[in-house]
Amino acid sequence: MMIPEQSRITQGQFMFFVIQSQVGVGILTLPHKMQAAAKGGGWISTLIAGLIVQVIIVILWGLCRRFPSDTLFSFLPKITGKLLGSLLGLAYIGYFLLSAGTILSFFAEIVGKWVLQATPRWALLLLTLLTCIYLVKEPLQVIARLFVISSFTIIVMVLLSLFGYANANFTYLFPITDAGWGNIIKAANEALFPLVGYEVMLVIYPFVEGKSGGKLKAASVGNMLIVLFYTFEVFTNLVIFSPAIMPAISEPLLYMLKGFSFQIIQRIDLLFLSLWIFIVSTAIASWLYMASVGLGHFFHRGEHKKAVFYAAFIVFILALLSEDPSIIDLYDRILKTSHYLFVVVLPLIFLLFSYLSKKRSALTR
Amino acid sequence: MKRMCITSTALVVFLLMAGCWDQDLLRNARLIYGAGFDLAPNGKLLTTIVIRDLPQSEQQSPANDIIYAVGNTPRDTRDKADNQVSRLLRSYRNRVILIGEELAKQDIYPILDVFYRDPKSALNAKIAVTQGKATDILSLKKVGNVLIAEEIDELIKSKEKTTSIPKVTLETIYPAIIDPGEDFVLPYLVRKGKRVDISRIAMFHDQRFTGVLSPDESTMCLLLQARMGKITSFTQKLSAQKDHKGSHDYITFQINKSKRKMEVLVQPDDQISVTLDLKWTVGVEEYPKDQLNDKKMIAQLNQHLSKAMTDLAKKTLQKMQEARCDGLGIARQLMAFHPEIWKRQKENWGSNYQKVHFAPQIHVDITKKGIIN
Repeated sequence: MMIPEQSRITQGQFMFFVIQSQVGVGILTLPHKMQAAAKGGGWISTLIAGLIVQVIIVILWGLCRRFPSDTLFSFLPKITGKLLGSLLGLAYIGYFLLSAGTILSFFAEIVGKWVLQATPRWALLLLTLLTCIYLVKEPLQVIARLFVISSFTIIVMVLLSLFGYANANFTYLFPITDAGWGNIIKAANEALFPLVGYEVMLVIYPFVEGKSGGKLKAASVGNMLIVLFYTFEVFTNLVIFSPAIMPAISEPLLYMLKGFSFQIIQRIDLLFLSLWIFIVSTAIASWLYMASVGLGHFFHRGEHKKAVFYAAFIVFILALLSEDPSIIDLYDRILKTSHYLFVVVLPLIFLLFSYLSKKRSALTR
Repeated sequence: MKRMCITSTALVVFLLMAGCWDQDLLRNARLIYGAGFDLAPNGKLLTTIVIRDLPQSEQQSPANDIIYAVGNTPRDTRDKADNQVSRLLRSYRNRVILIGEELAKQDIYPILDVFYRDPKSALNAKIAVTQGKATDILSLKKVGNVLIAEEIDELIKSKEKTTSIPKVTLETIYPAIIDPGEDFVLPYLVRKGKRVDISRIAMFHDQRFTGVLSPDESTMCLLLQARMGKITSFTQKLSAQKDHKGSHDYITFQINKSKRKMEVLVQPDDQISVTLDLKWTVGVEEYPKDQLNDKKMIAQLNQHLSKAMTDLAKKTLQKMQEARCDGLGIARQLMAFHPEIWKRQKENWGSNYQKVHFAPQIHVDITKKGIIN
């Protein structure tokens, strides 16, 4: 498969692509969830989750490097045969679309709760999706460039969180192993989900320039930065909010910022949210891109652009349906299972399979 | 090209519409600048709301308007107050929340819940307890030429700097309000004729107001908590005799630096003792009695002040224990570093706290004496 110039991205861009796909809605609620599961040790859980993700990244990379010029959708048939491969490809598309829908729906919920209380939900969904469509229909290179730029907002988010240390009380952390190591590790499992997004490797791997080792490095560095960022945010919130208060606030990060004010800006949480909207849109865009590359592969001879509109429409419907908390819970449960299935179990099986049947692509080193 | 046009029109329309749903124009709002809550007969709540009226013309100065409403909950009273004013009451510029003494003796969380729940409320508003009723202070409307809510806000800010009262906002007490690990203290407002006096601290235990400290004790309490402001000074009597005359017998000093070392120790029989070591370097501000060029005399003064301040610290801690106010967060230390002890003691922490043995020790060291000796 020849890769057009416009679709090729550098390894640096690849790293930012991974970063932007990973940082999503999870960051706001993560400290709350970690505290509930692991108390003062929540930040350790986040680090452990990061390590687990790193292992998964190596597995995915092992799979991808066997097919250096194929995306997920084109190498699946090579491993499992045409029919099964196509069906699995469609299942992956479903997973990507559901992920995008769930993120979008969480996003609308938080924006609706914190900022735009009177704006109807469909308008929030539509506005976000329109910007995503506008981005996703462009070639990969354009998307990657925007992801690089938008990553700088993460630095601003870190700086804003630093203000929290004015009221920090480090004794809130102790005893660190209050919940017990068992719970800390269990919480790490919970922390895996806010970190999802590195699956993007499966789709964009062939478009990245350079050798496979460099690509692994780029993905790993991206993941590491995000894990550090998440751990920092969890840690910050753990030292600011006492253990007794944490269960009451589901978005501690915003709550903390709400109380601060500067000379000219009174509500820093709103400033933070506007940056966060940017970050979430890129995450949604990334999922949407993965799904539309798949759809493009199956129905439009590899032109993902044509699939973007109806892919976005499906995401819109999915998000619209989930206004009821019970449905979003259902989505969440489906996603958790399918995450293990599609990102851990299946790739491992594929990897073993491709070793056994020696279906190596021509270009392996 | 045609599609571009459609997309861009759609985008513009949606962007503008999003604003329509959530717009909240300032000219339709009546801004609340301060609110006071008091106990009304029959267990009801009396809310006093200060709103700022912007003048119609440039020449007039802004004035405060005060609204009173009685109801069951803060939100209920606010809705009732809203019935009495044109346009809409908005609380996002709120500066101060005052709670009357009698009401504060009950649980204060139900009063504050609405502020914590509403995403638009101003969490950086100051909060204080008033002697008597909050409504009496807000009803002053003006102190001198300053509107009441601004006056209280500014006064609180300046007193925070002089270590008279703790630096608290709605947000900063939120962790302490529910947490059993520490108790919080709030400024205590007293009405003096047509003015407001803020120099004392109201102590809380478990979301309930339990006692007041005197001005000196308040400052000491903050120093023991290691929450020193920019300026901190004490005036101390020098000799023990009562018949001494005039201001000759006093020294005023300012603390430049205060270093605190706190240690919570648990004896085998579960007796908790807390050692508090404070090292102050101070500058003399006023000392009409003598000159300060003699090293021996300075040493003597150091000793005298150290003893006097240690006594004050003891008195302060005793008062805090009587009020059950765990302002130093001893429970938090126990939770963090002696979890088994805490498990045994948490049931009855209020009375167990009163049994804690405090051993404060303050060292005063005079390093500055002004431009004369």
